[in-house]
Amino acid sequence: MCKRWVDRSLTAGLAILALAFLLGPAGAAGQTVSSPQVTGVEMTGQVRQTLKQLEEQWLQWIVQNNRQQADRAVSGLLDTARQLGMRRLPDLSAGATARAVQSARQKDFARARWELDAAERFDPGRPETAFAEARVDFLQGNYLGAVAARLRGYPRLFNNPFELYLWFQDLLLWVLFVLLVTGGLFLAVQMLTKGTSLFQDLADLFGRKLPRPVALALAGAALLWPLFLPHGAIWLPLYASVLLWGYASGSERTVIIALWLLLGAAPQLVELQRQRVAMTLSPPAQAMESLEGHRLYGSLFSDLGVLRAVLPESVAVKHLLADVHRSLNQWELARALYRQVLEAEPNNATALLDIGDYSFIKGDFSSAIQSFQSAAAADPLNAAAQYNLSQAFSESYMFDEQKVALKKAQDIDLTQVNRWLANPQQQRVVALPGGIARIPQIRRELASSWGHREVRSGPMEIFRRGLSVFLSLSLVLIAFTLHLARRPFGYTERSAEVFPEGAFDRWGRILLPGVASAEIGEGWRSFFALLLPTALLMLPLIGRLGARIPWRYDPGNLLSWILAILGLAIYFGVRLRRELRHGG
Amino acid sequence: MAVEGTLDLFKLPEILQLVSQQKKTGILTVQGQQDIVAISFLNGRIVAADALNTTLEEGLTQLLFKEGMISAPDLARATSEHQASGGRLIDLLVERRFIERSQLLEALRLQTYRLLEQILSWSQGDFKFYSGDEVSYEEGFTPIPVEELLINSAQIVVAANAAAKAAAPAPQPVPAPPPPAAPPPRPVAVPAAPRADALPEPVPFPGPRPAPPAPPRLGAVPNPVSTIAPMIPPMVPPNIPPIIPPDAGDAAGPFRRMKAEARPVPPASLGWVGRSLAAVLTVLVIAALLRVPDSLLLPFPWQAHERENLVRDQRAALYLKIDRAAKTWFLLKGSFPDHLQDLVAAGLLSSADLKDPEGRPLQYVAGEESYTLQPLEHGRPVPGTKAAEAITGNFLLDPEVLSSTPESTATPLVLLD
Repeated sequence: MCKRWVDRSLTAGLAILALAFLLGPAGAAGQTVSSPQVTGVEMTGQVRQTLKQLEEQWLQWIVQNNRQQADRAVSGLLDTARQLGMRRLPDLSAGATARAVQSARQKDFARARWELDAAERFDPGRPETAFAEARVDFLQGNYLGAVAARLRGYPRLFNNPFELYLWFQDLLLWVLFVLLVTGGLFLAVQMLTKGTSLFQDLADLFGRKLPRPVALALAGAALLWPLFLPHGAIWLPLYASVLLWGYASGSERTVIIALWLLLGAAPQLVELQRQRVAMTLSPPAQAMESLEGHRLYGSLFSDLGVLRAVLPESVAVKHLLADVHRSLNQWELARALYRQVLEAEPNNATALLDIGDYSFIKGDFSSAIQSFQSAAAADPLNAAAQYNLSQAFSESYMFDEQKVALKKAQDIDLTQVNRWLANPQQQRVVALPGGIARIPQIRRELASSWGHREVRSGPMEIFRRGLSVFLSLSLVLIAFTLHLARRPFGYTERSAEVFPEGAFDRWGRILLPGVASAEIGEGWRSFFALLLPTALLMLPLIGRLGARIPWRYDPGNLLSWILAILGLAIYFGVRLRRELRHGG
Repeated sequence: MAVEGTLDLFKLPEILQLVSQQKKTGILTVQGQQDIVAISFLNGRIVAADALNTTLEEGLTQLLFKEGMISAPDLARATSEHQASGGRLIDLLVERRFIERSQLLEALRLQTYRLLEQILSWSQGDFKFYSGDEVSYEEGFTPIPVEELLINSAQIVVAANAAAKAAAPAPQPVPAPPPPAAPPPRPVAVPAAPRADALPEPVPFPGPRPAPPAPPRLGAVPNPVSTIAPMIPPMVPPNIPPIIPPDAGDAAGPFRRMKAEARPVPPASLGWVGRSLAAVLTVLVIAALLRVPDSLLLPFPWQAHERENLVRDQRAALYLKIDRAAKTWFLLKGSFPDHLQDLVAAGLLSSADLKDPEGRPLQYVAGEESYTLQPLEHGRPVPGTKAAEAITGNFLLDPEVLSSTPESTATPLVLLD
């Protein structure tokens, strides 16, 4: 990671320097601009001053001992963020959350409450705030409140796409783990019910020419030899599954085939999932996610710098960065980037519109009219183009044209135009976030770039990747061939009872699900009987087996432990009850 | 596999016993002079029986009506509904709550019993056994052990003989029936049953084991065994041939002439082998899950590269979580924490986050404006896994970001790669 960080910084530095060169004349013309090497993207003094103000206001909030003053500080912080086109401050929300828990530990619950409120205002709807509230309630002795707050926290996950995506990916991985572990246990159950017969047949085979003790020893060795190979832990179950094939019923064989195919396909699924998760966790993806949610976090600008370095030629990235500069009120920087977008995409309506906005703000109404007319021509159904055109005509005292343009805008989208007319913006013209809207496109480009960097190519690589699937299919053939070759010699019947009659008989059946079904050859029933307890046992591992979700306040896995213990108690309780009822 | 023969060579009880002894699964068809009956076996126990002349549904509805479990109007209504909607009549009876499912199953068992008792008297005809892996039967049906069927049939014959004798004009008094409160004996526990020690253990079913025949309840279908057994003294039935396991007979006897696939059963003394092998597999799976979970998903030797990538990315996700926690701490305290445990105590991390995805503890070294993370193996840092993070570029933490001197207006130096 360190090397990657260094690489990333170096690449970013080079790309940013190059971009600074391109933007140099525009930036230098009007104002002093920060070095992008430090800030990630170029910043005017005014923007830096606004960010500095945020920092200072945060320090003011930290030292407040009074709820009203603290609330005012929060309002001030949010106002400042709005000046930069942002609505949420996730880092400050995390800080306020952590501070609330700290205050609760110091028994200052009143303070903890208003700190939690602040956390909620900084970034509304965060699950972490609810989890922290649960902790505060717990420390205060309000256990019911703690449970309620925790239960409130989990649904909030669905309002946060980043965490939801990671959680869903973790869930997929967990399901894959559960299926594979259940598959392993299914083979163990098969071995429990049929292993003795398998051993007996092998011993009989060797016993034709060898003394019985030697034959028994050789049968044991024949069953366990894969364990001593490199990666023996995987070869042994696969080998066992091939040997058990002949003893299995039709449904058991379908389960075994399904497991082989799953094992063969799992690497492809895991690799695909891993790449997606890695991309989601990358700084550029986080920056885009935050821009979509209007979240301003500490390293947003440096992460955007990384995005530019990763996709230096991407028009969509330039468009996005232009929108960022526009929302920061850095119009000169924005205009330069919009021009680059238009060089590549002359009919980009939103870029034309934003260029027109720049001219309008600068008072160059004839250029603005020209740009808006081009935007309207490129996208005849763009209400904003017609609306902005009407505003530019109005400023140019061309009232007849203004009326026509406004009428066209209203014809296209009356509701939206009425909203613009009711809430006239400071600049009187509408800016469309065309760059932000291209984030899905940038994600695709990023994924493509990511794939090209990670995937090794060549025929050998393709062969290597497909080897696991090939192996799965080969196992089916091997098992089938072995069975055909072995069938004429007959198979030893499975032993009558896995559990000898007695006290352990009943407990064995209760505590070892799937065995009863395996005894009568019901493969899928046996598998599903194992699946539920395995899933419950593995529930606390959800989120531990995949990528950790970077919670800003850790929720712990208390809920999964509770669900697992309760679920297992109910499951085995039901089995016990049924056994007592039917077993006599 | 199919075994076939004629009933004059093999009596039906013998055939049933053979299938039972060998725990066969499959269907036995018996073609008599007037009817054909198919008997389904699951592991040597009877789970269904159906006749050509009287289908299962016909027989069952007749039985339900005769036993008073369903009234004539209800039956007529159900029949007309069934004709309109299709499907199975017996499902419709349960769905419409004309009868309970438990009653249906008991009636089905009784119906099967009666059909089997009927064909046991056949002495002429053909049989054929089709071996298979699975047979279809009504879910919840309590399987009928062959031994139980044979014993009960014998008892019915004895009872019939006794009744015939009682009906004859003889001076002997009719034996009084037993008191109704007497508990009915369980069929498999009849003490004088021939070779009771050789009876197989009940075949287990998925989940709970199959229930033994239930004692008679008020309003329930009477169990043929429980209603007849109290009247009959335990004895070996004279009209039924003795139950002889195939191996105990003459080696050159009729069983040897059948092409039955006899599978040897492993000795009980080797039972530990299956248990040990199962234990080995279970331990392997659990150990892999807890110690090297990535090897479960990417198990093959040629997937080392993918495993490395997976672990690397999982570690990167963990480092990101730690970084967020450490920077939140910095935001509040102005410095990075001295130990990662401080972040756990603050609730920003969980204790599981102090180990990397491969379960190795993390070494954390904090500096003034940066920190490093690296997993330790046997107390030594693992090469190639070190990560360094700093406050650089974070405008909330790094004063340099905002206090940097503005660039000059001169043309910037351009590095060409």
